[in-house]
Amino acid sequence: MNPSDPIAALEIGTTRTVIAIAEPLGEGRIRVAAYDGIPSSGVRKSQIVDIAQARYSVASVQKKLVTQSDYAVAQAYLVVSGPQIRTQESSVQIPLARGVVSDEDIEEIGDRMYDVTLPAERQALEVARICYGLDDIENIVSPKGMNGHILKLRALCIHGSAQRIADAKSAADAAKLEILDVCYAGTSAAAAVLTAQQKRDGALVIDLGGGSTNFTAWADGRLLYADVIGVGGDHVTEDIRDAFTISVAQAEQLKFSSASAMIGPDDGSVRIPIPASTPGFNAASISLRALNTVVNARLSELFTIVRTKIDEANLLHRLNAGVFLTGGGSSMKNILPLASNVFGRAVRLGQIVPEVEGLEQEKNPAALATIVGTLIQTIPSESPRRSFLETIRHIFGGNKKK
Amino acid sequence: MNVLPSPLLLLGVGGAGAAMLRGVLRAYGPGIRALAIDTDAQAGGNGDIPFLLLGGNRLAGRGTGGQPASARAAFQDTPTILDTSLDGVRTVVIVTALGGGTGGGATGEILKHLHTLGISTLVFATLPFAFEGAERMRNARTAIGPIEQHADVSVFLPLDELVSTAGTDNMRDSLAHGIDTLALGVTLLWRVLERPGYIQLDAERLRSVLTGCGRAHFATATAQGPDRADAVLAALSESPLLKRDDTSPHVRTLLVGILAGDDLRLSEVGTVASGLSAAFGLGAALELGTVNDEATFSGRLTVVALVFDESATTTRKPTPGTVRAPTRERAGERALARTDRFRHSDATMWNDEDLDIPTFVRRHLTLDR
Repeated sequence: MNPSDPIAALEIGTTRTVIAIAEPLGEGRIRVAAYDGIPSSGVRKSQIVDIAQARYSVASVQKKLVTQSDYAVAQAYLVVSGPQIRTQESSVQIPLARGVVSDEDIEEIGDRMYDVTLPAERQALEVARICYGLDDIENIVSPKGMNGHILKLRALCIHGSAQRIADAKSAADAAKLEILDVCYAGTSAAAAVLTAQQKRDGALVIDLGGGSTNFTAWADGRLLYADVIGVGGDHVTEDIRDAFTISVAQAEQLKFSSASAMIGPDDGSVRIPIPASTPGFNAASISLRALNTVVNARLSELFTIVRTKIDEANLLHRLNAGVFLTGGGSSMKNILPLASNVFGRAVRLGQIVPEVEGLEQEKNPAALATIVGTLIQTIPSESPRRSFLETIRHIFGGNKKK
Repeated sequence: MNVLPSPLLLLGVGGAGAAMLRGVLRAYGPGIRALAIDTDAQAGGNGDIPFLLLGGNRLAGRGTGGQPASARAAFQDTPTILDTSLDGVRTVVIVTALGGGTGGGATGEILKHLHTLGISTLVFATLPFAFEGAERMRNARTAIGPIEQHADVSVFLPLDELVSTAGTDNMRDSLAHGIDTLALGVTLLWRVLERPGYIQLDAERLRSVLTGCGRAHFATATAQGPDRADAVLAALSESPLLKRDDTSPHVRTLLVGILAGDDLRLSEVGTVASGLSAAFGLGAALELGTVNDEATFSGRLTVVALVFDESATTTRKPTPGTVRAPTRERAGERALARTDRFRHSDATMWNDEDLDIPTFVRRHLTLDR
């Protein structure tokens, strides 16, 4: 395939269905040429529950892009997330013929790590190297040139439900969009916001999606942990709707216009007007303290669960570069100080890496991290970023309209 | 090399809390991450302890005059006053005295705030001497409710009982004994975590044990000589702080610290463990840690026992992330129901809780209307 061919990525998210197209600029850089999205239908907790509605969403975005940009999308890489995602650690080893680790040995054991046995209903999305071992020495980052007899490799396999992935592909196929390969949203988000140095120093990326929260932990330049919790921005909206008996649209608006992740000292004296959603019904008002109590409870719980899992994986102390928030939920007011309180670490909003151009006018680029990261990871040819997603086959994705 | 701050913070609330904190630091020695907070600027002393002045704008550092409502309002003015001191903190151990203004008024609010941050809390609160009068006792009892509501573990220590084992009527010696007893209980977590012996409890295990346990009782005993394990058991069984009768609830968990020097014998650990298990019911879970500290406990065997009652588990709103499913609902409480949007989705479960149910519902949070 031609390394300069444009690439496309599709995300059928719980709240939005988005397609983005990028043109490779060489040396691992891309320019996001076009992107657009519409509110999703038929998706709950990042999983398709109504293929017809999901297909309609995909087709609608395609049509929008054709109308508004210079691109017609026929092929794309698919981003998946949701509680169906699981991980599995595996270990492989090879004997060293010459007693010294060579490039060939590293390549051979790298090929062997894909020999992961999964149940038939599971589909591998990504296999990443965690660390090497040499005889009785563990946690080796770069074994080349070291002396020994047996080279070992610990790997992390991220896999998803074959059925759920097939559902997403079906929705895309029905909209005449060919899916070239599938990427995990967690690693995509990290590819979009983490520099190589931050991956070496140790970082946690939490992507707050609509239906689920994906998070990945990195250190020594490698992916060490990946997980998903089936709780996202939709839960915050639903909690607000449930607490104040208002419509989903009103709750969604309150979430971003008035709510804060932290409860402020003066919140008790502030009331927020709620216009009547139906003609004939009275308008009302709610206490800001009550609203923030609802939001704070949900987000505190979510971050605490993430922290507990990272702590159990013995990685909390390795996050020297800090914690990075991405996804639509990352723009919530005061979410950074709340997360900082829970993690006891510096928490920042994810900034798209400098290798990506074309998003300068975007107000909240962190919300696009998963789809932008997928574009970065699927750059064709010998881009140095290719190693981010070793299972992705680099096939053309996206035709420029003639 | 990065040195992580301790995940444990000792917090003294109020003037008496600050004094207790000083006593605890004296008894334990350096190494405890500590902070005092009071509405009276004098409690900060000469800067010998880290100190935060609460309600500076409202009370101008003059204290509350014994009014818990003033302290409560002062903390509500600045609920994030502690936040910059909580970097990396997972568990806060609070020492305070109830009956006066700041301890009784601010402690509940502080606990409520710590709970929203996902921090586990263990409170040691003294109750006034009987001779201090009915009003202080009434103030103290009023403060117990909010503390029990928001603390993971609350230990209430009547001062009359705390000093009753001193063996002297001298006031200075009695109070010193009370402080020593309190310090052993308060510092149990630090000793078990930071000076571990042969049987260790890690920080997260302790946090898990403490979370949502409700009211607890604690006592300590020390003995020397060849039969010191039996002597410790006998002393604990007679401690007024652990006194139980037929109406006492079943014991759910025993957290036991065995503190000794290098001469600690395996048989002594067995004697203490089996003796306490037998005394508090074999159904109780036993969490045991030993502390090997030759410099402090040479020749002595000291046992610190925290006893968690079965009935206490439903009084607490669980800390996020380490929660147990509510075992019962009080009359009038809202039913735990999933919202319509997630009714037909696979449930997202965490520690036996259905996360599709709004968090504020599962936590039984009261919303301003």
